[in-house]
Amino acid sequence: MKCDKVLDRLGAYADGELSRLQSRRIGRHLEGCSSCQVHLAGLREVNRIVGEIPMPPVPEGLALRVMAEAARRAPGVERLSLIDRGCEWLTQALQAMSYPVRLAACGTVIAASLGGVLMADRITPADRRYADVVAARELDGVEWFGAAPPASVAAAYLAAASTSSPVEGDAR
Amino acid sequence: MKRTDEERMQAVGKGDLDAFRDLVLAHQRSAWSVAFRFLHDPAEAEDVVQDAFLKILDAAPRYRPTAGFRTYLYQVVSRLCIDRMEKKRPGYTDELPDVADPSPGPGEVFASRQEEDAVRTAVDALPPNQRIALILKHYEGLSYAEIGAAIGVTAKAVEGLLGRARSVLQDRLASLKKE
Repeated sequence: MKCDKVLDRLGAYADGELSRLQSRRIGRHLEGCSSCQVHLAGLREVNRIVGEIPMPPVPEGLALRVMAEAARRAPGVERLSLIDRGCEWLTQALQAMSYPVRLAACGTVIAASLGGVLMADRITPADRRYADVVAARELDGVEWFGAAPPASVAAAYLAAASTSSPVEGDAR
Repeated sequence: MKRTDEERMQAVGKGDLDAFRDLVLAHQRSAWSVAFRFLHDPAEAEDVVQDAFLKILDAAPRYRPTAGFRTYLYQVVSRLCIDRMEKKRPGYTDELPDVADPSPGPGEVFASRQEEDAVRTAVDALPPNQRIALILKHYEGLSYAEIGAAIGVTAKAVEGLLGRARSVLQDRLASLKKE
């Protein structure tokens, strides 16, 4: 092997990038060539000096700043992530079930949804008003034990609710 | 079970910010090292690191694990560094960072510091591709093939880039010794 060929590949030789065969050839040439040995020594010295150039540590809080910017730029990402995780969990849970259990689970969810829709239709304005009255009474009770005197707002609401007609249309 | 970077990246693509945080924590040092060594300006290097990770976040839904994540990160950081340098004035490379030298001893230190400064100045004056190849080789320990993937050239071309870069540095060092 001639010196110019060796010098061309000396960097790759020093970096361990050559095949075993190529590396052996260059090694053999180097054993008998002082000029190429000097080149290799110079190359290694440069590599050493370059490698020793110090670097300051990573600035404190760099990752936090990156994350803050990421969250600011993509505010929807985290929400999407939660939805995705929910879907993933559901999929995994379904996959873990046997086929009949899966069917039963789906049936239960569908029945519950239908039941909810039907029940919602049956709730009349009078029921809602009754629920309001009960809530107001509870509120009044809470206030009774408070430091302040019984709230007139809750009492007034109770009075108004009990005097008005239970059916919305009858008020007129 | 610990996820690979590529799996994390695919999770980021689905909107998982926790996976993104893991990637940032795992690779911030490498990104910072390349950016700082190339730009020698902490504020600019931090900008580059931040830009790089945000670009990666944006591109995550389109990410395909054909190459390793690290190579992909180096590719983004290298591109951003080179773009920044091209926008800058030419003389900026003379500015040297004020970094504490950890090596001890007063006598030889002066000469070694001189050599280091000379080499560092010479590194800063190299063409961007040679400089980034040198940084990825010496400080990140990448192979020629990995450097090639990061900067978009072949492994053979990387050998050429490094060869020319080191030749310049050797000349600079030799002339310093003659002075």
